[in-house]
Amino acid sequence: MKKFLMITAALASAGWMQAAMPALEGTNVVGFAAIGVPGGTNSIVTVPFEACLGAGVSGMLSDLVATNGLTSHASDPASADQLVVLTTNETGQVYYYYWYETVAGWTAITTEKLMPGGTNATVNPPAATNFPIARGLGFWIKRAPGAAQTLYVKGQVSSAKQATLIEQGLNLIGYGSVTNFTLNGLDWTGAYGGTGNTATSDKILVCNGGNSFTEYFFFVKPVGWDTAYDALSNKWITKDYQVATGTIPAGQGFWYLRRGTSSFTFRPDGE
Amino acid sequence: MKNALSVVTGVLLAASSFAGLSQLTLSISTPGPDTYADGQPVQVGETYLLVYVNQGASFQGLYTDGSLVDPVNNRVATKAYAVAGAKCGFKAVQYPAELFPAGGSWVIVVLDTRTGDGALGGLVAGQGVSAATVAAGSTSTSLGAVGAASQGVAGLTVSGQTLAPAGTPAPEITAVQPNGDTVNVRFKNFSDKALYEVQSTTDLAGQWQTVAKRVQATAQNIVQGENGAELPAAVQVPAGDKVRFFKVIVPNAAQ
Repeated sequence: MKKFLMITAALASAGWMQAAMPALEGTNVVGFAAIGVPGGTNSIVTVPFEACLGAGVSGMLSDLVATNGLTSHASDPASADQLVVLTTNETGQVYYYYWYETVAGWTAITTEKLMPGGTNATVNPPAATNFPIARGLGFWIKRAPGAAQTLYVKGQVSSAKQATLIEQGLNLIGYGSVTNFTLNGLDWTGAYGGTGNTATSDKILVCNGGNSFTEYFFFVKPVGWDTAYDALSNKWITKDYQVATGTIPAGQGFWYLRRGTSSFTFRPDGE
Repeated sequence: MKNALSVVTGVLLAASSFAGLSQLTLSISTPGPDTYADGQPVQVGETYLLVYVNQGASFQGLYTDGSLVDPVNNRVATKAYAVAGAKCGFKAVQYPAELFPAGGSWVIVVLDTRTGDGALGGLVAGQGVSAATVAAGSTSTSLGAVGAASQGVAGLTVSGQTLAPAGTPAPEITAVQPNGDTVNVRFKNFSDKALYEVQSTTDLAGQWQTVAKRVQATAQNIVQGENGAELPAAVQVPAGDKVRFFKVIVPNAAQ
């Protein structure tokens, strides 16, 4: 009996010691987001992740945008899914096209830049393995005709807050969130409300697939307007002056039309 | 006060006109199979044109040398080429928004550049035109595409003939050399920008038959005759002919 008690005590002691050992946490958390992308249409997506083992560091296109489940082709880009990125290089705005080539994966397409006088030039995008996609950048996925598929974007969950420059004119951006969100749940310091008229304020266009968009306008109540507008002030609203309540899925990008006279940095999670 | 309002209005207009993209993009392709007028599938390497058409205008066609009939309202933006499957290979372009203004339209034009022996790269004998796609403006939020399968576009067919350039001289036959069932015809007053046909008949009051098509001058086939440069054409005729006549025409000569 005494021996039995001693063994029990020893086991309990070992168990206690095991429970007291701290867990060894991995250095990062990775994940993926699934985005519905209908066949035969164009959708705007964004990558809510960053490069693995790179806090606040952009990942490369080929790493962040998975190809599984998408449509590839051995030789014809027109028959395969494509990514189209609006970005800038030393010449200004530029479009980079990539297509899903069988076996090779995302492959750059040389495009032709049409110039006045017919002096056309070529634009050679960097390889997808060498093209950094900043968190918060929006870009197109152009689906080949066919059934709806899921696009998987993947990478490391970022510990840094997003900071995306929004310049005058049209910007393709997104919110690097791994969960669904509403526009009015984000920090929009710097957004421009114009004169209170939707024709003068900053505007967001959320792509519904194809050429259909839902529009939202940033409203700041002008001095002297009725108090009925107080509830709308500093919010995104619909064209009917209703507070925007629609949920935007994680990974979906959108157009931002900047009508303010200067650029601003979109910090959706605050400073 | 009035001046102040004018200044404010001017500033607002300037601000609103800027709101957009400085560069636009579109891609071209056709779903295929595209065909020549004779029903044959378009050969790999055949030429396609992306043509911008001014607002209110339409595509007016090409001359046999590939130049535009209406260069004021039609502009060739770029070329693309046929790939396997008898279709226009995918090509993406980008351009300053002001270069091709909104309100105009885009068409894809497939050419027939086959020479008499079937090789590509000759003068343009015919053309086929896609449905027009409205050109986007700097505020466009859509991804442009012309001729893509997703737009429900069917295969293109070369259904229109090109025109001979204005000023093409009337050809004049300089020699006829029968040799069994082959007759070598040579003519002068030709242009290297025009396509010629040789027609033949045994009865001057009867119907003329085309016996050689797409005859065109190249650096390799021009010969020197007594009266200068001459263009030869070998035509097949029945071996037992007792009498046969020939003439050379320029189809679709611009007036």
